[in-house]
Amino acid sequence: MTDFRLKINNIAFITVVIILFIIIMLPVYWLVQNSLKIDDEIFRISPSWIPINFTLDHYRDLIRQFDFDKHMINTIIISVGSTLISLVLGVPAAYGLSRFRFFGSNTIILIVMIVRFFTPAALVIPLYDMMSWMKLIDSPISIIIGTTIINLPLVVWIMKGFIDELPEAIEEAAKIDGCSHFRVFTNIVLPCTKSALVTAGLFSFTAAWGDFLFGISFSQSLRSMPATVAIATMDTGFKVYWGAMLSGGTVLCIPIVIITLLLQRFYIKGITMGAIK
Amino acid sequence: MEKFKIANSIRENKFGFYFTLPALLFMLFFISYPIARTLYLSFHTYNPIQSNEIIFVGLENYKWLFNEPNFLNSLSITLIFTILSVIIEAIVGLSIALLLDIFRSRGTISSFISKIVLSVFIIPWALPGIAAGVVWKLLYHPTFGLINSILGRDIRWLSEKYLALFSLIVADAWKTFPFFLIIFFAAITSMSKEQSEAARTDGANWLQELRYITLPSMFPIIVIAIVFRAIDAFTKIFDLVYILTGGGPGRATEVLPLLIYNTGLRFFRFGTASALSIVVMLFSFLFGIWLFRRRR
Amino acid sequence: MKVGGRKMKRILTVVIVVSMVMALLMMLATGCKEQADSVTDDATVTEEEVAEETAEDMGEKVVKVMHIASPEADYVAEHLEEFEEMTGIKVEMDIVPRDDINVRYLRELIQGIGTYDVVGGMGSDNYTTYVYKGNYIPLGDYMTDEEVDNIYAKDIFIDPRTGKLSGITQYQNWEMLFYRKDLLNDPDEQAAFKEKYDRDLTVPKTMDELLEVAEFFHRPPEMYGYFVGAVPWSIFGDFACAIIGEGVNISDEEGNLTLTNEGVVNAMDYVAKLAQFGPPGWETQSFFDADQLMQEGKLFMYQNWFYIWQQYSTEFTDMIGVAPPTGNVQPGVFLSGFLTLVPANAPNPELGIEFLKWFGSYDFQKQQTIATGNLPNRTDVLEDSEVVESIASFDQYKACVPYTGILKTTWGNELQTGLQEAFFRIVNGEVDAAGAMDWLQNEKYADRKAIE
Repeated sequence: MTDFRLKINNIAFITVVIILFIIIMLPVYWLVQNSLKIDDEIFRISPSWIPINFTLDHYRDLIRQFDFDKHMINTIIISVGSTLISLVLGVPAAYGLSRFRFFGSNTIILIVMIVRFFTPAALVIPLYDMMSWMKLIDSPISIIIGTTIINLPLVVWIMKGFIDELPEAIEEAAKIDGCSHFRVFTNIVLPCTKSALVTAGLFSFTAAWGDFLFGISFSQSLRSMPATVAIATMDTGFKVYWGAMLSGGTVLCIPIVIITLLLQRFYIKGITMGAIK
Repeated sequence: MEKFKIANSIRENKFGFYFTLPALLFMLFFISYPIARTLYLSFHTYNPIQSNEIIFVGLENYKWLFNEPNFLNSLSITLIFTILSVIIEAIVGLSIALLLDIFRSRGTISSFISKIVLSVFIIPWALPGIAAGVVWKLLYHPTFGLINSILGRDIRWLSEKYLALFSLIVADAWKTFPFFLIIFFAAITSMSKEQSEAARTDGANWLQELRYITLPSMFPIIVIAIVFRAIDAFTKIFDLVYILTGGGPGRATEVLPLLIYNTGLRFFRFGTASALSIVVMLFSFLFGIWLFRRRR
Repeated sequence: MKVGGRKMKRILTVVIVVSMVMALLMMLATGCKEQADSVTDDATVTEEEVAEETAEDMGEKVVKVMHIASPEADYVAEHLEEFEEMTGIKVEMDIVPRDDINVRYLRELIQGIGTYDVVGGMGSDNYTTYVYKGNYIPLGDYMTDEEVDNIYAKDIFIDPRTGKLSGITQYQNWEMLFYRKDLLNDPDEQAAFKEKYDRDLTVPKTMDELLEVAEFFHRPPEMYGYFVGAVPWSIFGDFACAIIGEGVNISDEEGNLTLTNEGVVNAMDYVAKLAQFGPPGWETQSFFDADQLMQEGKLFMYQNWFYIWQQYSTEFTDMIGVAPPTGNVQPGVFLSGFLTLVPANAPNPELGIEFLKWFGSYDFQKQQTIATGNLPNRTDVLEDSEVVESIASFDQYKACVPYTGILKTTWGNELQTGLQEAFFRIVNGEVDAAGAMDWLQNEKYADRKAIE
């Protein structure tokens, strides 16, 4: 009797998961699938589920016509830069806020919380002014700064939540032995926070990778335009280069999908920590 | 409290300041200064095309803002978007989380498999907003889109006033429901099972178990998750709108962030845009303060 | 949840390997690009960027041009080789989407960030703005007085601050009325029309005639009577034509806004009525979509810029006809074109000037007119017999020449969206035209002048 019920449960589960999977993954599949079709097939009244005329033309066009490889490099520069700066600034700050109580530390925590909930678009206006007189318009640095502003609070939040939970015993012992605070931080605390570091870095990276607002506000040419903005400009109002948009979107998503599947544990941890703590 | 054993004296405590200093300097320069400047500009008119002059106009910008239908329009659109979007995402996320948990607790699947399923379902959330926008734009296309082809009708998903907002909400729900899924699933799996087992031995079926045990104990988490996601939806919706509808038709999907961007960087009315920014930042301020108080 | 050291190392290795593989793939792809450049498949033109990065590295001269996504920019892209051969200067042209281009004009011509040598694609909604306020190197400094006089409608492009010619337009353009002449001339249709409206079915000249004909041929879903695409940069043309057709403008000599002027109110009212004869989805479409519909035989008439006539007069000779734009007082000839300027902070201004000179040369203008059907910016080319012959129904175009005008304001883009908002209020039935324009002038744009 229980065997039978188990089987029913199994079948029910598998069916449900498959249905959900199809519905949820459909857009992703649609993105990739259409990027491999020739234009005529994309623009069919009833679109095909599998490319009938398979082609890699759009990918070739991405590079030849749209210089997408250079845009991807910009995206990588921006993502890596933003992540590094966010971590370098945010992790020590999280340690400082967690372990020490100094004048203004509570205010800083408050500021972190407020900035976390900021509207990025509201920041863009004054930042544009700033970047103008710093002559940083159309430079990847301005976009890195913009994305870091948004990423930093989350990094501090995640790291502080994690460090708060770390037992202080070892640090105390080290201090008694005569280690400077800085040594304690680098040699003892940091190694213990590896998983949180990965989580915080992952979130920063993903956010900067997909950034669009700062890109479109500050970039103008190949010098700094990230891939997200490049894809958006393929809709020119005169022509819409669907093939290139779809293939560009696919290229943009592939690293993210790979990273998500590999590092999903950290994503999960990050989401729960980001909200609960 | 034992928490601060490592640094008891004030002299020692100042080390915390050193650790925080780089981040603090960064935030001072790139956040406080812009905010201060926005505040300043909001009381002036500044239109780079016309002139570099900045003329003091007092509260004019704010008065204009509240009389200007665009602001109220954007505000209501953003609110509607936030509420509907968050509700849909929460329901979907909760349902799937419960589903996974039911199967897991019945022993149908192991935690391992549920983790795998979970990790695949995160993907929409991690994808860049532009990529999601491009695909949904194609799906919604009146002539070549999959949706119209399946339904066999000619619905203008993105060019009719209220339908466009609805389409936007659906696309955003697809992209963001994993947020709720993850949180709820984590919450459910970390719940103590004693109560539910006791209920089951008492003869409760799954629906009753759900209503009287699972949901009530999850209630705080649900609320927090909804609140967090709501403020995120309210402040950060931009990418999807830009590429799906550009704010149209007319201004039917012009959410607040888009309005700010357009006013500032398309029409170069920096004074008005600054006033708009300040008003919007107020929400963030208030919310941040409220959260800070709850945490302390 | 402690992560074991070994597992961590494995994950990190995978991530690093994946990124290295991707970097490698991209390097290969960029390597392929050099080879792909020399491959010629079909005649598709590289439209986005005709980039020759290696040229600049070798110290060759490169001129950076910014243009707007359009058929006219495509034409330029196709002929860049001629410029390169003639002058030895390589061209890097960026084509920018219509929605995004206004920021770039600001950046180049007001803030002077110095990315481009040549900034083009400005429509007449931007003329006054940038001619009056932009920081550019006046082309007039490099031309003789006769050459300047030769430029069509040159007064619009004279900088009031210096009295010099600012730059030139790539071509001259205005919207014409395109209609199904096969249906118009069909005897059955004419009889039915006469019966219904008690007058002959002729090519409409006034707005009322236009409305009647549109209504008569409005037979959804096989055919729509008229098309107004409500995307701001598309519908602006319809507004401007209607306003100019009423013989008025949106500003007076002192630079005040005259939106509540009776002519302007009428114009908006007419456009709102005409829009009703459009296909579903017109609210977010543009004249490019109307082209599509017309060619499929689903649209009876609409107004559009010149570029489409070339195709219509050759491929649809018996189906589609052209006529001057309608207007109650005069033909609503709304002049536009793509104004092209050399920003003051251009990295290589001399190269920019060279480019503009090529743009304005007799040969280029003549070839362009013959090839695209857009009118030249030089009056001498306009009289060239080959040019006259190349445009079918040239007399229709010639008839418009005395009536050209633009809407004079220094914030054309903003006005564009304002008009569009007012328009939607009328269409949604919230107010009538007079009420909408009153709102626009006295509430939304209160205290503003047309020339600021």
